[in-house]
Amino acid sequence: MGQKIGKIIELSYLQVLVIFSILLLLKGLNVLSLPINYRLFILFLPVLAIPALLKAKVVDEKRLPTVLFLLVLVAFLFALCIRLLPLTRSSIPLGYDPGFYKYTMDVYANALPEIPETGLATWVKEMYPQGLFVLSDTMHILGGTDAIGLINYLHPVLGAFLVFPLFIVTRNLFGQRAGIIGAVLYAISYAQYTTFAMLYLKNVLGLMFLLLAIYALEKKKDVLMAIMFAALGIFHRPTFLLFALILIPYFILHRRRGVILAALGAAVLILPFWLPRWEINLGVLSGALGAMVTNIQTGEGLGGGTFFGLDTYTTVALAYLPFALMGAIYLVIKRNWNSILFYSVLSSIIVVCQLFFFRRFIIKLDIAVVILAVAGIDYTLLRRTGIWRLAGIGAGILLLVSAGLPTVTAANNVRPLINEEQLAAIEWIRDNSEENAYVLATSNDAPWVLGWSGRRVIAPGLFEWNVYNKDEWFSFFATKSPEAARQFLDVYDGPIYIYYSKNPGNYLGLEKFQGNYFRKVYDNGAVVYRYSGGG
Amino acid sequence: MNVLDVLRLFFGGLFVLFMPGLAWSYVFFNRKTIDWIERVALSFGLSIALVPLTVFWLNWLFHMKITLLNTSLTVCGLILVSGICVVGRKSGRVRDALARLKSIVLFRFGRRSKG
Repeated sequence: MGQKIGKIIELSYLQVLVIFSILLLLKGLNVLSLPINYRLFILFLPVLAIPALLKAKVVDEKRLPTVLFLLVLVAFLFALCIRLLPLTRSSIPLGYDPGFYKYTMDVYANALPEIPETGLATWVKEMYPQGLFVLSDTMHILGGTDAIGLINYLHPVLGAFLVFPLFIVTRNLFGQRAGIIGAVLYAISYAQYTTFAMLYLKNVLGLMFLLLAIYALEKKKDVLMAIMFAALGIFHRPTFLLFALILIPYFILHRRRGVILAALGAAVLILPFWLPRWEINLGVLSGALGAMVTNIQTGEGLGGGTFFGLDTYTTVALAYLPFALMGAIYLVIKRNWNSILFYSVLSSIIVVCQLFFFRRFIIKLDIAVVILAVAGIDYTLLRRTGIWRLAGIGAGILLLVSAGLPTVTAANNVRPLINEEQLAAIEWIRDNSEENAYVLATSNDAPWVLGWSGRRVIAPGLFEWNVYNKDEWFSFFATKSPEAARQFLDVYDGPIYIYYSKNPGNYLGLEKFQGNYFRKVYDNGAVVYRYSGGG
Repeated sequence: MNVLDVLRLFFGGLFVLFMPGLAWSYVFFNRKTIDWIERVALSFGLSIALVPLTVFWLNWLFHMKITLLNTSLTVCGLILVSGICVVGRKSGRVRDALARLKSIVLFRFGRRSKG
């Protein structure tokens, strides 16, 4: 009787899967969208897949034809092409962060042959661990690259290159076929493409080291793991924290002393990086913990970081989320307590419970979801024979197309946040303003002005030159009085330029700059005023 | 960007972002234990990890300035050390010494964690 029920559920899984794949593709192509909650499939499909998962056996795969490994190369090339595509339209970097990166890389390059640790502003120390900038210094010296070269070319290459670490980790855990599907799924992941389009360079590096650290952990290569763990510490602290958290349950369950030795080794390796910044790092950590406590108590969802939320994620990753749950169920059924399981559970808790930096952790969660999803697809469909395998291949292709559609659309549509004319206006300030000048800008424009003008930037809530609080900034934005604007600016001694890009959502209130003290000196795509009262 | 700049970028990139990791990947994995995809992934990752770590450590310990000569020597040193490790591992005496050292560390650590 039990077997019969199991068989019925198993067949239902196959039928629902086919329906789900077709519905999702039709929805993605805007052909047909039924008035149903598609997210229900995330839970419904894995429940139906349980009998198939219970049957799944760990057997050695036959060696796959070498030509299939070309798919990994194809995935890499696809990921690279869609990341280089925006560069064919404009050489201005994507995202909000390029100015921050360019400014910091320039500060490091200008301080050569020294490392400018003591002279760095507090916000730089809080935002950026030293690793990336020591690397950019090295590339600057040996490769002759500048900040823009690294941002425009290293970032897409690294983003695409993640295909390889993901492939080796997945293959090591779930077999060759899973590795290949994982590489393809990563290449078309919308979450990973958004990470690229928002220029989260540190996140991409963090993911690479996280995957290689997991690879080393599973291969029991402790020295290699110590190096990758240390690299996380000097490149991206949230991912460092995640890997440290992964090691705790891993050590408790596996009791391998090498893990502790590797962690100690990593601690020694990052010592000179963290020692000069221990107060700042402690402050960042306590800030994250404080946000976590507040979020647990009030559910306010503070300090999530800039990225799309869980709702959007469950929509764009709908094609592979059910399989990720199947992969997790499979690991639990088989009592396979590997690091990917801990990784997915921990990042899910952070994202779903909105603990800290929870929107940014979707980037990391997506990698775990991709790896588990290929396990789900492989164990419930592709390792079987006959109709199951055929259905698996068919549904898999449909789901890959569905998952890839938003990514390809994004690659076609993504544009830099400022245009050539606006960047020319900032470069005009750099070429025509006094060395000791300040530039006032909105928080939307400020990173660009900081990176490209070479001047001190006054902006709400940003940088060391801001002396006003939120309310004072709001009243400055609201006022139309040139006199009030003058009073606001007079605390700075030195000439002040006001930069404003004419972009939707950007507001500065230009009426206040019409008085005698202000002179419009540039107007093309962006407007620049010079305040003659201050200096 | 002229041809020389492109060549400098290509070979400089290869020298910083690939070569040290490639050399170190042989320390962790013998020739035939991993395939080329693993080798490439590890080479890139190890290089990006090891170069900043080493440069920063040398700057911190010996106030080494980050110049063309020093950085080139550092990267060459990284490759050389990995070569010594690979050769040393093949030589029985070094392998025995390393195994003895490992057992001492593990024994001490084990005793401390029990205590």
